[in-house]
Amino acid sequence: MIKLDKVDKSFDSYKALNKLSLNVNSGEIYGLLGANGAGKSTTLNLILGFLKPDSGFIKINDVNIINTDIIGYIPENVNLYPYLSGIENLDYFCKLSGFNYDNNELSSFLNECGLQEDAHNKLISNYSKGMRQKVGIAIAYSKKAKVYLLDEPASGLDPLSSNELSDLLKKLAANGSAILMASHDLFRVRETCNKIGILKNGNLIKEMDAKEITSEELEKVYLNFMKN
Amino acid sequence: MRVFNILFYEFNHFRRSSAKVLTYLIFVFACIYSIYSGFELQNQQQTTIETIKNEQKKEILLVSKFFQNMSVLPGPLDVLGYIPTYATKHPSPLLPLGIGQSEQYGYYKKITNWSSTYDNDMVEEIANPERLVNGNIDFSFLIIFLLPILLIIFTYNIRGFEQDMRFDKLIEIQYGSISKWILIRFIFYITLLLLTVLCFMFFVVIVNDAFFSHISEIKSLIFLLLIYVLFFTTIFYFIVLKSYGSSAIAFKMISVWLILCVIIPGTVHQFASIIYPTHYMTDYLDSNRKESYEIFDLPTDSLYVSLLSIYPDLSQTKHAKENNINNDYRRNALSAIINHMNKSAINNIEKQNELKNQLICSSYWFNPVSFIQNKWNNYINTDYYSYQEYRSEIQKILDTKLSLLNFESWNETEVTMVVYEDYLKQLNAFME
Amino acid sequence: MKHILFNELIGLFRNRLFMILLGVFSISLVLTTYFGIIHNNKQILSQNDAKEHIREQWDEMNHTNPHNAAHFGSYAFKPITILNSIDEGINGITGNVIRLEGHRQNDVMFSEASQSLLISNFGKLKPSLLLQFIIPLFLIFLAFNSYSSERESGRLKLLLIQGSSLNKIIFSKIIAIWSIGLTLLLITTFIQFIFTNSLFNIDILIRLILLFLSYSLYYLILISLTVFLSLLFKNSTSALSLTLVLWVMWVVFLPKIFGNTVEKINPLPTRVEFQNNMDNDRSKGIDGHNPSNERKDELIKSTLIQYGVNSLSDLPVNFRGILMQADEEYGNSVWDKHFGALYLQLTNQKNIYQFTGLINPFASLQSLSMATAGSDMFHHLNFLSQAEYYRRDLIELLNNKWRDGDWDENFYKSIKDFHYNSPSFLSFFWKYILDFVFLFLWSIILVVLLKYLTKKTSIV
Repeated sequence: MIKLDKVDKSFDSYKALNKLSLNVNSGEIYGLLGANGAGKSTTLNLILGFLKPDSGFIKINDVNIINTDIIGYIPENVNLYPYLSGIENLDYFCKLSGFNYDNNELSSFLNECGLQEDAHNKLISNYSKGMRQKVGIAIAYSKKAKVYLLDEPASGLDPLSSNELSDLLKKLAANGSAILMASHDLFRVRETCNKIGILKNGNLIKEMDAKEITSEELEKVYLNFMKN
Repeated sequence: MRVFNILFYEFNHFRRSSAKVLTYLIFVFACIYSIYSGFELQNQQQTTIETIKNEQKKEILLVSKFFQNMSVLPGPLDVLGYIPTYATKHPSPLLPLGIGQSEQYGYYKKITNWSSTYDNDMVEEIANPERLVNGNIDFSFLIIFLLPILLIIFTYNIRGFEQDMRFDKLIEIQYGSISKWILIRFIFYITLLLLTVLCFMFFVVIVNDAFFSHISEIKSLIFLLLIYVLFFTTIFYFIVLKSYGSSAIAFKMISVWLILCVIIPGTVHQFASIIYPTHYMTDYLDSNRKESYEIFDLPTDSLYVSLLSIYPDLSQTKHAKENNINNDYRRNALSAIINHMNKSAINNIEKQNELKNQLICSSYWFNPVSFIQNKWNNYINTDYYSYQEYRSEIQKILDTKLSLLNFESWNETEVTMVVYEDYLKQLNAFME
Repeated sequence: MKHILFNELIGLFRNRLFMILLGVFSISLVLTTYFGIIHNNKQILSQNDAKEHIREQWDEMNHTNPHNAAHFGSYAFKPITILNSIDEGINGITGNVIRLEGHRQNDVMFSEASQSLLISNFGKLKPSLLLQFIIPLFLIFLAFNSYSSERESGRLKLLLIQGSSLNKIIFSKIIAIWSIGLTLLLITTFIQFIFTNSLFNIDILIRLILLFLSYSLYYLILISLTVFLSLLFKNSTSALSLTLVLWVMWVVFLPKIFGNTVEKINPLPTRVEFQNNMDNDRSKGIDGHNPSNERKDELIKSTLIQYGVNSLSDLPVNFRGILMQADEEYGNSVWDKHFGALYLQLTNQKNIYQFTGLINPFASLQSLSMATAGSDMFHHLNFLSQAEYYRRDLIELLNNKWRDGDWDENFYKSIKDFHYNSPSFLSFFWKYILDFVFLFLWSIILVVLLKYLTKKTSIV
């Protein structure tokens, strides 16, 4: 579903990505690990179309042109409009992408994304970070995204919310979506993802199957790569 | 030592903030420009006054030479008629520090026996009215209106920046007293501003050699400057202390500036205009026109009575014994009576203006900017009252002229060169 | 785009501080417009009283001869326009009364500014003060973080991924904030209309519409510029600081600096120089009171020929009336020469100043605001000219009557007072074309620049 082939990206003299190739298939959750400045956000911005690659190509759903209609994006901090309620925020973002749902439909999206019914009509300014994250996912979900891109989704979440997020992502993957999440939370990535890649200085230095490795082993591998 | 360090770091902060340095330089440039304009206005007024005085001297010299060659001088009416009489208002040497209301009034006047202090030539100099509405960048404007804005630009991110960047608590932990830390940073900017302003003030004082002659005014101006800066600093200090984030602080500071410098003075101005609308001085128009013409039509005996009511001592003169007015003296009698009428009409106008001024003064407790502005103009002799004083001086000269014309002619004084010189002295007595 | 616009407005209306400020500004505008009208009405009443008083005196002039009446003279009062309640323009500092008499042309006297201590530097609290100084600041504060707030919160990416474009987001925000400015403008014009509609005619309506248009364009410029800077700097504090510095330059520094510079480029004479030059030219002509020069002899000759008599005593008319009118006409030509040159100089100054609108749209706004309110220099000069032409007609009428004899109280009563024919705005339109052009130019350039910048701006 998401395919990056030998993608290069530089900012002036700084090489942010070096011949990066990776694949995220339908039903797969890919965890991209790396230190600050490793190139995780650059990778996401390239897939989102906010940056253009210097060379190489990016395909989504086998198409070379980036089609935002099938992409859902969940930023690190889902700072929605504080003066709107959860359901109003969802309605607004749905309308922007051309979907006009009624209140029941909007409510069911929020329910499916795990937001308690009684919170739907409360102002976002009263939401916790986890609740905002759920609305963010509902926004992507409601546009029937096939591809989900998540930038540090678990950062700042409490363990319960973090766990709920994992379950939600797994559910989305089970429905056939391809999910790419950039993170430096080794434990959460190991728990959520099927596939893990480690980025260092713009190079994908290691790819592994999450099932084949324990959390402790992942930490060891990661630290080993980072130190060398 | 810690205080010194904060000041030192504030200096570093200031010099590395290009926006602040640029704003400061603009202010300095504006000060230079305003003082230059002030000097220019002062020179222009002085040159005009000099020209008038030279003309006057030339005329007097010519006439006195002519008189010296005569064996017998003409009568007092002719001699007095040949004395060109002027009143001028010399600009204060502190004028470059604020032109105040000087562009609203005339500053020189030729006085004839038909003059009054509300004549046509008492109105402002010829100027572009739209330029007058926008005003000048004069030094007092910079102090009263722009200095607070400069203070806002310098201080709005004191603590606000740290709050925006979320390390304000760190400062508190490191230094202890956040209020003292803010105060020290404020002191740096106040000192910088005050020193800058004082340098310019002293420059004007030195160039115009006004230090000893105007020491009390200079002291008062400095005092006024200090309390004004202190006033705004106190308000801004508390805004910084009680607000969160530089945008909120900037918003509140600018609101305070708008309220104090624009809204309150504008409201008082509008209120005063509603209570005392621009008056059309109908009393004065009457005395100048209808009543004057009625006087022209008066029979001589009534004129005599009227004139004696103004100058009772005229009854003791030689001419008074004839119980009538000689035709030659009639015009002087008329002008004296009309002057008397004008004076009482003008007195009413001044009273009406005074009522409006009292209303303005009564607003000072909540309108500090107008208070400072008018006080500042007062010390530089460019406020309403300075021009009112100038009008009184004109009136005194006019009264002297008319009194001389009437008494000297009625006394049938024999004019000699000594008497002529005495006339000159009396009529120039109020000229500087 | 409508969804973003709608969302922006919801955001504003659900913000308590915004609603308080909007309420305060709306109430202030209603009150200032209302009190502006009250002030106007009071001033008009006071002027009418003065006019009646002066007229009564004129009517009481029963037996005097027309020459005395010419010296007695009349007064022209500067009219107060209906929209003066919105923008007083130069009316506070120019004189209000001009004496119209024979032999001499007087200055307009008794300015309000000379009648009291100094009160405000930015003018009375009229709607123009709020609309020119306060509301723009409010709009700047609404606009300065419109881009950066979306960017810094990370919502921008979300909005773009949902199918919106930066162009749409930016222009929706500009339109939302602009609509607030327009609402405040509408309040002012509505209140003005409600309380003075009985005095309205097509001209006043056109003036009010153009006043609305001028302020609308200015607000669009200011908001677009603020957003433009926030896009350029990507940092809300820098954008705010720079916009505020620009605003101070526009409304405080540049008008004063350019005003002074223009006066230096086209200097005006001092009153004493001007008067001396006038007196010099005047003294060369016939002086009605000292008729002893060649011009008088020529006039006598031509008059005798005209009436076919040999001496003045045989004239069927009063020669002094003819003499006075001849002197008057000479005086008029002197006035035309000197005041014509002065007015031309003032007009040149204004024309040069109007060009400063190219770098300071506030100058164009101020000019148009005063122009539409009928309180600018062109309207003032028009009043002075009309007053002078009335004076000429009046004095000619009196001189002719003195020449022909046979006057009575009905003659004086039949003479009409000075009536100011307010020029229609359209007849003055070309004088302000530069101001309009610059406001349009600024708006178009900023919109184009914003379009360009939204395409070039990197989201990351």
